[in-house]
Amino acid sequence: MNQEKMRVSEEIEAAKPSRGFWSDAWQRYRRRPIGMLALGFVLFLTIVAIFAPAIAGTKPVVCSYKGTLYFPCLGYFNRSWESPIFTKDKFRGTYPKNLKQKDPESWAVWPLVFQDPYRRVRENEWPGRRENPSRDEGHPNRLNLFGTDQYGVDIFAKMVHGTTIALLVGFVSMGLAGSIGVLVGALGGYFGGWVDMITSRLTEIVMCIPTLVLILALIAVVEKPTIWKTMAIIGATGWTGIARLTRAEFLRLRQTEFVMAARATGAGSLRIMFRHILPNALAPVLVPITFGIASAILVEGSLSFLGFGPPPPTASWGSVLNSARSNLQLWWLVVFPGAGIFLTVLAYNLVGEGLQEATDPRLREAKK
Amino acid sequence: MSEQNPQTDPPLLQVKGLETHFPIRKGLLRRQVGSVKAVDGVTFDIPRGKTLGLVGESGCGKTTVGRSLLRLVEPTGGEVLFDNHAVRKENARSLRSLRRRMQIVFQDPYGSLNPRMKIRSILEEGLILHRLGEGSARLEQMEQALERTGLSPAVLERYPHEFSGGQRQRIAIARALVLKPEFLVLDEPVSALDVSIQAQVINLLKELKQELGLTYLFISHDLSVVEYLADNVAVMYLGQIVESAEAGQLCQQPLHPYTLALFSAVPSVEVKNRRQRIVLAGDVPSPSRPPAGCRFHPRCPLAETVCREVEPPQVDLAGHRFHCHVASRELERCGGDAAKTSVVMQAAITAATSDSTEPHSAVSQRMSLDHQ
Amino acid sequence: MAAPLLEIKDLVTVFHTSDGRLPAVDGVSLSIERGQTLGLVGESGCGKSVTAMSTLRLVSSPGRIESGSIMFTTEGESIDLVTTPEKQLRKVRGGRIGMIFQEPMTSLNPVFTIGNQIAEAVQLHRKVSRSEARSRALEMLHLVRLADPEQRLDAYPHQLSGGMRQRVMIAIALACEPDLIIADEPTTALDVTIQAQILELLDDLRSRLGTAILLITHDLGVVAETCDDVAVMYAGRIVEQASAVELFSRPLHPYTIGLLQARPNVDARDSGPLATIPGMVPPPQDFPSGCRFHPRCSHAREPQCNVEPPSLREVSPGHFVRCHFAEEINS
Repeated sequence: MNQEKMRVSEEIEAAKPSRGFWSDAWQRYRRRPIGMLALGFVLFLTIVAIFAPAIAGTKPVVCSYKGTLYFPCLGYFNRSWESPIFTKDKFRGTYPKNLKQKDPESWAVWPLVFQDPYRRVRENEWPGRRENPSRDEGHPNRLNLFGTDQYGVDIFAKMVHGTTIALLVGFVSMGLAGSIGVLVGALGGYFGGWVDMITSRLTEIVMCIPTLVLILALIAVVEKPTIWKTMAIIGATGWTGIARLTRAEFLRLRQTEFVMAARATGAGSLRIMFRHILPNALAPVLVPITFGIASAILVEGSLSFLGFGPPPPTASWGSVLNSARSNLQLWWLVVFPGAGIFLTVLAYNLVGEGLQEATDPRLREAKK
Repeated sequence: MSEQNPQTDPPLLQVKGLETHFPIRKGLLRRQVGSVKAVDGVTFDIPRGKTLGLVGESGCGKTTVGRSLLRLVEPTGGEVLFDNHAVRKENARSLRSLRRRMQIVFQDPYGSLNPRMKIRSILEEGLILHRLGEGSARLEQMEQALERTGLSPAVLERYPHEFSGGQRQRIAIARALVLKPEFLVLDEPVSALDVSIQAQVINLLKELKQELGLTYLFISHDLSVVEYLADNVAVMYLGQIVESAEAGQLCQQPLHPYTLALFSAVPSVEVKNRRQRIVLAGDVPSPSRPPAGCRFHPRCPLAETVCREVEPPQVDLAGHRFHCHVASRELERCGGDAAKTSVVMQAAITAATSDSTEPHSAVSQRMSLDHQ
Repeated sequence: MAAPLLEIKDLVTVFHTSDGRLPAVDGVSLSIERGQTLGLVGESGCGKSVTAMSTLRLVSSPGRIESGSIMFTTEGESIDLVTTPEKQLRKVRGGRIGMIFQEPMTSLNPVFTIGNQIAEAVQLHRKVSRSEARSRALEMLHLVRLADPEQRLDAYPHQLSGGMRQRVMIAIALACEPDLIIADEPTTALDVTIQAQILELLDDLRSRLGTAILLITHDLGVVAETCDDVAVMYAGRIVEQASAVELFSRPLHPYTIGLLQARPNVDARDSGPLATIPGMVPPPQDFPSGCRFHPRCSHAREPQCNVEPPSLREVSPGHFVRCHFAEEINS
């Protein structure tokens, strides 16, 4: 018997290094070139979104003024992050000249492209540069890579900053939708009975209402529509698919033997739901969440296009499309944001598909 | 069956009239229209340190019995006494502490371990829930449990899918052992394993029982395994125990027609152990609508009128218990001699089932020819 | 001497996966005579099911038959099932060779009645009208002793029990009076009393219709009670082959001996632990060198056993063993 024991142990020592479920899935995901390409694109967009003010803007990324270091570009994210000293010294709008004038010792690192997503860049704002053209003359040129809109605001800058908006919309709204959906689905799927009845009926009610209409109604009701409120609303209406899927997974998993084993060990409902079932249910649920990100971006784009998006001067891709509506001859107003939305949605969908294939247990069994 | 020696302690586990019925609900309002009587009046005792083998085919309720004892499935009637604690009456907290002492090993090695948890977490769970030990003390206990089942501590950092069926069963046994239980329900623990691995795990279970003084309820449909491991055996059919006795006695002198059919149906390589094959007609019935009278009567080759109408009472022959009208009558005729009765029953059934004698005699002819 | 009904010669079936080329069946040779029952025994992963599927070219990608021949001789004609064109093979499948699968739950199409499914089998191979096919289906249900055959003809699979479904599968396999039936673990998923019924049925059909059977199973008891000849498989190869009587009274290969000794039985109760075969069946990506059983064999001797793969030798008339030291071990 002891010899047997040793043999069993030896076999285990000799086996390959341990791989959890997710690293296993990642290995599988890596094998699909198109999935990797899409993931690369998503990563690229994320970098653009994070570094947007450093890529396109009229405020320095970092500058030294009167002896102190500042990061004025952060003002693009949040007005209050731009140091008040600049307002006091009446800088905004004319950093290059004013910096030099008011403090000859100052230096600054400028964004890659000197354009502003919110306003037209004026003549000589950057020494030696003309002001942004507008309307029909605003086609793509060396200074305005994607052209300008009818007011002369640079489209490239709008696209770059719009990336931040787009990704925020995707993640925030799906984060909210995911949380609500998983919670509702888990409760219904695990407890069954009247709890399930209530959660299912709730899900069905929300599902029956056409989303866009509901969103518009909520936007109309809400006092001051901001991008954050729009995201919250998209999240609060987009959780139903996730809830149904989670519920199905919980229903299935609650009957597995390892759950029963946990109960036999003495675990209570809460622990079973979150420690045992949820990690197993997560993989299939992440897939619709990924698709949901794409969908959220599309919804926001549609809202902005229709004019119900956040008010100007927020720069989002949809808002550029909105201005395109009345200026169809300016083709660059259509092509660039259109391509942006298209490629982003495509990329997220491809990532979602790849994720599905990488985590689908049936496909894994087939390999054996 | 339970040698009631008044000098020893009462049996560790006493089950009286256990019933587990599942409601059948139909309609929009989910009204109960009937029930599946998975377990319908089961009584047995398991003395400390002994193994009770519970045998039967699918639908007989043996798995439900195992789960009902631990209240993983709530029984709907009867009594379960574990070390004189009334299990059914315990509240959630005291049930949890009882659960430390009663553990279970499931049939499917692929389903009973959470695929997303490392073995360490799986084993630690029980210790965490019952607040036993801390940090290194816990680790020691886990390593001890693993060592007992023939696994090295390296196993802890791995995931279930990296192991074979036999290894996973060992892990499942280690998980049950980590809490140092007194009683183990083994629900078909080797049925899903290959023959050579089965033998390893069976040896392990036997050894553990002796080393740790465990008490087992061993549930299986495989008669040979039960014959080998169990001290006492109970045969279940459609939610009830039809016959129970000490293992050796049951194998040599089965009295109930179903037991006889069950034993003879097991294919064997040993020519000398090969019993005359009794082939039952019909299918294993569903427990939602059990037949009236003796539940076995629709398939019983010896069924008489009384069998169709009256449930057979229990006959207790010095621990060998059974429920059968015909067998109890024959027992009387044979003057209480179980061995003789068994032979008589066997002959009667064989005669009654062999209306197409040709295939049987062809097989038996071949057998006798080859061994001349 | 007439050619055997089925003769498999040096069959090699491989799977191309990310772990490389895995030879699930690695040089298997078997033959079955008319009316005979051959049992192919082995534990899970030994390749017996793949062998069965290869016979009818039912192995799906990433698996494929790499080499070897499967000669099927019927009505005086011999064809090689490995190379014969698909059109001809389809005539053989179901028409001359019937197959029964393990899981009766999933092998029947749930949306068609069983009468329909049997009739379909008939119509695929015989030019008969629908009503003729239906009456033939009824005939088959009688043949397999299904209770209430007239009513069951229009029943759906989910309305039948496991044992009944297996009888239906047998009916489908027999519908065109094949010469050979390949039964892949036909009773593993069934209760033991139902298994007894099905085995008795197969035996009865064999004596009545003279159909040969290739029975694939892991249960040695089933093989002992129903088969004329036995072949034991391990890690893609046949390690022992003999008549059933001979194999069970005088097993020669250490693996066969180990399997037989590992079976628990009531006589061994008090004589200490069961004799086990240490270790596990190796997966195809980790086949040991030399004799594939050597890491688990108590008789293994270096350097021969771990370097030189033994060949299948006739150690006594009709009894083949793949072991370097078969005679010594058993003297």
